[in-house]
Amino acid sequence: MSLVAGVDIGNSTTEVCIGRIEGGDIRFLSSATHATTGIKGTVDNIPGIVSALEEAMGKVRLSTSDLEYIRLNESAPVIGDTAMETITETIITDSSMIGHNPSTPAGVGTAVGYTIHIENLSKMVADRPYILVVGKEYGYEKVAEVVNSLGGYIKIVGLILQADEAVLVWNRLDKKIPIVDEVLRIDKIPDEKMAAIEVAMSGQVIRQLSNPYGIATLLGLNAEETRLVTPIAKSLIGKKSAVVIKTLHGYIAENVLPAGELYLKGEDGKEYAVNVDAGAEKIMALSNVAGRLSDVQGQKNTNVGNMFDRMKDSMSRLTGETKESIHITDVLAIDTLAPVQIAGALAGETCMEKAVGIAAMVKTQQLPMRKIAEELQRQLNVDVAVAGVEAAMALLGACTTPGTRLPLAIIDMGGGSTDAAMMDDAGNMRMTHKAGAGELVTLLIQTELGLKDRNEAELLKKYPLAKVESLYHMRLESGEMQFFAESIDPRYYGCVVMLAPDRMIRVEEDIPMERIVEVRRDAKRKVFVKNVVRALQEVAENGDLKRIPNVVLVGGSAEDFEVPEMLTESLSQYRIVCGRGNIRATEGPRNAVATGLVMSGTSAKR
Amino acid sequence: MVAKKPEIVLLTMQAGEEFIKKICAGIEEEGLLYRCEAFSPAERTNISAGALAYRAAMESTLGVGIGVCGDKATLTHESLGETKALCSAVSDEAISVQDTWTVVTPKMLGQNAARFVKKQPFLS
Repeated sequence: MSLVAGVDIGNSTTEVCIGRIEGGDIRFLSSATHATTGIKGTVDNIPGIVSALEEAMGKVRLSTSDLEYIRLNESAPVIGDTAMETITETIITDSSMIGHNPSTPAGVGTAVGYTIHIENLSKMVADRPYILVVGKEYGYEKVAEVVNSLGGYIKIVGLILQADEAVLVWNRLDKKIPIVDEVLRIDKIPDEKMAAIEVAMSGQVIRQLSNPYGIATLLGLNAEETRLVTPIAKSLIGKKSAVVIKTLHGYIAENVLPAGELYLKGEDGKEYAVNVDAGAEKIMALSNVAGRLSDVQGQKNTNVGNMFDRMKDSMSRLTGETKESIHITDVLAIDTLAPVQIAGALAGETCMEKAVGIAAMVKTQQLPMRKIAEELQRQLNVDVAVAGVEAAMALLGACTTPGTRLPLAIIDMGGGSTDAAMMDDAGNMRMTHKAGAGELVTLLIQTELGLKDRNEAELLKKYPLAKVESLYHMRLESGEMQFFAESIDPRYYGCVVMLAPDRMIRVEEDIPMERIVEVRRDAKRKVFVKNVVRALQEVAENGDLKRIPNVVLVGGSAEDFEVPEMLTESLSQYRIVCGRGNIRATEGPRNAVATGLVMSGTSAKR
Repeated sequence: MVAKKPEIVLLTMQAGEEFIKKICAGIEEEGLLYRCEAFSPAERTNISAGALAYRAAMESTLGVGIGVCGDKATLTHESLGETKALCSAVSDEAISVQDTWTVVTPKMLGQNAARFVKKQPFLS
């Protein structure tokens, strides 16, 4: 009879499982999870391991000194990275523009005139239409008074305000004109330039300035100039108010960095080239043809070349290996849209351009698990062994899920890579690691929604949404209503919130809930469903998915609130039974590796 | 019987004109209707901005009321009862406040009253 602990150090959590082995029988006593301390594979992990062990032993009123031996996992020696690059050409024009959605602009229609700051009133001449630019130090009453008093001899056709006072000014004007307010950087607006402003009717969006020919009409542009303002028009689509200022000095910087070619090197030495312009589908098709890859490179001095350069840089920093020895063994390319900054935008406006998100994976040297084992042994005075390949242990553990039998495949969706392993009736095992998992999903959510904060994208990936519609109820993304007896904190009123287990988190950007849900689901489907099929094809006999009867999802991503269902749905077409694991019928998808380590302990030493 | 318009009600007591004007400007900017009344109690009582706001909210067909008492203003909704409120403001904007979430500028208080009716998130 002996007490054995299995310890699985993951990127984010350390999981342990305690079992009692009597003869050939195992009785599982307890398990625990603790956040991984330090970077996975370093001795910094030890405090986390010790805490988790103490917690698990404490649950059965034992201490770590009662353990006979501890078995550590040998983690998969792969790391992944993600990057994003726009593939359409970037045009930089010299026109300036402002496009935004102030909640309350005023007046309706378009106006064309010369910009002038209120300080320079004396420079105005008669018979010339002006658009007056006013800083927030001028109150609404003053502004209205100035405009009304000029009414006789100088034509003010529109107003650009820095303060949020458009309606207040408009209500006090004798002659009504369109007013755009909440323009923060009015200092960037030059004087005496032709400008057009437009305010949409309430409930509608602007029409003239979101149309290249509309801008051409208002500002009198020729064909070439019109072509150059197209990105401006495009970025103004859907706005409630906009300003376009003509500042062309005949100087146009057009910077077109080609998207570039991607070179896939097969293990057989053949090299395949594909232009990134062709899109993700073409890239993935070629990667299929190339088979197992020995490396991937991008064309020098192109967008994709720079992107792979950066990825290899960051991977070499992470692994401590030289950049030359980093070989990318798998890529996943995904079509997406990314916001691109428009030169000339006065408020950081962007337009959405076609982009490709790429996850790449490299094989690294084995992580120094032995060092951890030695140090842990010294600290706890218990025998510690590095035992078993992670995927094999996860398979063993996954077999404890009720309703499974061999042949069985497991999918472990992590942060950087999606791993699959398959065991047939005879106990033969095959495994694979595919680039792209949780982190790529986060990146896609972040870029498509144009979020500044990566952390917010991470949260949006994890939690379902709701919209707080009154002080006492919210509408969940499923359409259900939830009511509360106590009033909701006013700071959440009218906002889209994420429903974390113990609290609500406000979504800071003003994006409709439906749009976020759509982007989130799309990103998960594009990455996980695609990758799981890719991984299973590789471990399945002859690449035939129909030969896999059971797929068990394990690891952190299996706890996602919608990914397992997406996979169950899409794998059912191959007649695969796929679902979230339930290790030892109690642990859910967690603890598979730790459980497998304890189980393999019966046949291993003693 | 006069038909009641959908308007935000302000009840004021011993409050500065400038202070009230800023709050009203906030409501006007958001395009809502409002009614502003001086509150004169039958007997001399000590009434807080919060209590005044609740009284105003009960009078408003929108259920949204603002109480302005001296240099303090409070915004509330009738469903919150007398003890809770949505946010408040002080007339002297120079006074530093600790909780920037519930204490806003007078104009923002007016805007928040209107935004509450329009079901838009509060400014802070």
